[in-house]
Amino acid sequence: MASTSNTNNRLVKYLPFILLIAVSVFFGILYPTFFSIKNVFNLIRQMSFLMIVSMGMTFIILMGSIDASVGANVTFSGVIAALLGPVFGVWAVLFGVLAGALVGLLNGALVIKVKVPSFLVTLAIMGALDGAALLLMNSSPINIHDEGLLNFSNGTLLGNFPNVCLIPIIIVLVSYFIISQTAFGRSLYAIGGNEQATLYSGINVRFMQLIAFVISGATAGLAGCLQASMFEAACPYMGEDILMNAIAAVVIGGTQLSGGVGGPLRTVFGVVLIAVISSGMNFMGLEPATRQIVTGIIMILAVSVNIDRSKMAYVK
Amino acid sequence: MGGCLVYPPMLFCAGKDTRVASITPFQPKKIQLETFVRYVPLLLILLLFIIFSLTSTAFIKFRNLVEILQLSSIYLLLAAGETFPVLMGSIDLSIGGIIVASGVIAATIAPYGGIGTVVLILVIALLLGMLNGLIVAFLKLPSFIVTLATWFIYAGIAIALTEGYNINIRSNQFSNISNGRFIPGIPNLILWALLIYFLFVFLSEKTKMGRYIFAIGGKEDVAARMGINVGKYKIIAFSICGLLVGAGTLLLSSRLGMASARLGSSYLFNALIAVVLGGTALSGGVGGVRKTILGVLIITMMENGMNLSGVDIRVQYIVKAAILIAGVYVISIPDRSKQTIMK
Repeated sequence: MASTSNTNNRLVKYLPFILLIAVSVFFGILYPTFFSIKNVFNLIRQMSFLMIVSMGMTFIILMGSIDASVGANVTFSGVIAALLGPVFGVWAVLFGVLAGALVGLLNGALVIKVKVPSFLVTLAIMGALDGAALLLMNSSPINIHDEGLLNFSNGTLLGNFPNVCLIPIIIVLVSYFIISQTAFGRSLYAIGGNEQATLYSGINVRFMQLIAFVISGATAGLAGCLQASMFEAACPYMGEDILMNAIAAVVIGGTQLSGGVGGPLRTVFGVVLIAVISSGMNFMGLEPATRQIVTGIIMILAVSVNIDRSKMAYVK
Repeated sequence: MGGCLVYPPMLFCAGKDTRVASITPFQPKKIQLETFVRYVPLLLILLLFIIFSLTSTAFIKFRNLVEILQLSSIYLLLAAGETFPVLMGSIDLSIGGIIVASGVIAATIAPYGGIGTVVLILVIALLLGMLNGLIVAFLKLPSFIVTLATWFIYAGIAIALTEGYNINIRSNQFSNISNGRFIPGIPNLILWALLIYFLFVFLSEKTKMGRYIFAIGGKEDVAARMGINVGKYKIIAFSICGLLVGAGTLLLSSRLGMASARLGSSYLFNALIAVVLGGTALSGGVGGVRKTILGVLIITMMENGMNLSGVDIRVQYIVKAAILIAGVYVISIPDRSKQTIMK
């Protein structure tokens, strides 16, 4: 189990911190208003749903799988919440999370029962969810007028502490607890490390995979509700760019795509880094299309720095 | 063996016969399953043809059949391109990105539709495909993650260049590539597509390159130990994929008379479904470019039939997702042994 190159590993471990400081200093010097209270709060708002989705994605990537449906799931669950808002008020969020979790259950069931690789299952589900979301919203945004649902993102539950900060923090703490303190969490590392060995050691690998996909779906659902509430509407394709950002955040944080290495706290740094970079690109006046290109390049670089090639006999 | 059964007294044969007899009960089942899977595409084509002929009167008309063939031609090139990486056990998710980027970049540089536009589309698509291959081979990354990223990168380039507008390519000469009629009644794009397709079927079956791609898909480490330069053939396979997608883009742009950043989204799904339903397993090494044409006919007939029956395009997304998963499942039944580990 001894690592082949310690210096390389240490570099990878501290890379997110170094990059975060470098990027922050860069943008801080370039734009004096970058760290103004207003912009920092903006940053946190933008970061909130990415943080939630990335936490769910961490469960999946730790196992060495991937969930490509999170972006479409965010849109789909957001629509469900927006549609049910007038009836259930803030409780529509529960239905949004439930819808997301059911999508996750479907993903997981297809991966373990039909035995199709997770990237392909979730890619297909992504297409289906895009279709379903467009059908539900009839291809045009659904505005949210319900006070309760709007307060889900804009309100405060704990004194003056805004919900957009509170919810991601809760999700991070819960994820950290599950992954580091429970048998389920440890089995995720085992599955990611060596699935065959984990299977032979008597762990119910298929069930653990199913649970991980449900968690990823539920977090995507929660993020969808939060985003819809924040935008005051559920819009077509609103979660589209979350997929790339979430994978990039998880991987750049230090969770390896090959599975078995990483954790939720590393993802936190990855998310902050991605959010600072994307906010910085906003300051530079880059268009969404250009930001998309940059995110894609960042993702390839992050994956290429942080993947355990020795674990893959060959790379498909 | 049959001879042995006729002469029961022959003692040496008796031993052999019992061995054969002990194996035979297992054999028919396996053969049945594999034959069944092999004929699934043909059965599906027949079934779809009958269903749509009965449900829609417009389906069987000559004009509609030509329309199906026209649509098939473009999907045929895209799916044939996609078959090369899939045969290796890799995948190219970026073909939608290659379509929009190659079309838009070429139309931005040379919007007049001369020979320059044609060459540019093909060269740019080839280079984008090659870039995928280079990243996969040199950085040693899984192709699905690389091409997921490049899909977004290429699409981003196309959107940035067009800012959402279509770029018209107004030229009769350019339009004639697809819409001209060399044989009366049959648009040229069908001929072009078939010509290019069969050229690449030949390349994949009769050349060293083609056989090596099968070998890599069968078992990559064995192929590498046999002295095959795996990285080189990965780059070649992804480049071919890019080139064929470029050829598809050329016919598509010529048919529509424009390049747009919004074209690509549904093509990836259709191409993947066509490859898989044709009988090429995602695990690699099984299937072939030759089979992809059947998958293409299935997906175009299905799309055309659903359109004629008035199925909402958004419902079609859901149907296609289901078909993709079911197709991957059915095609990989005989090959399950390769998939003990499911990531």
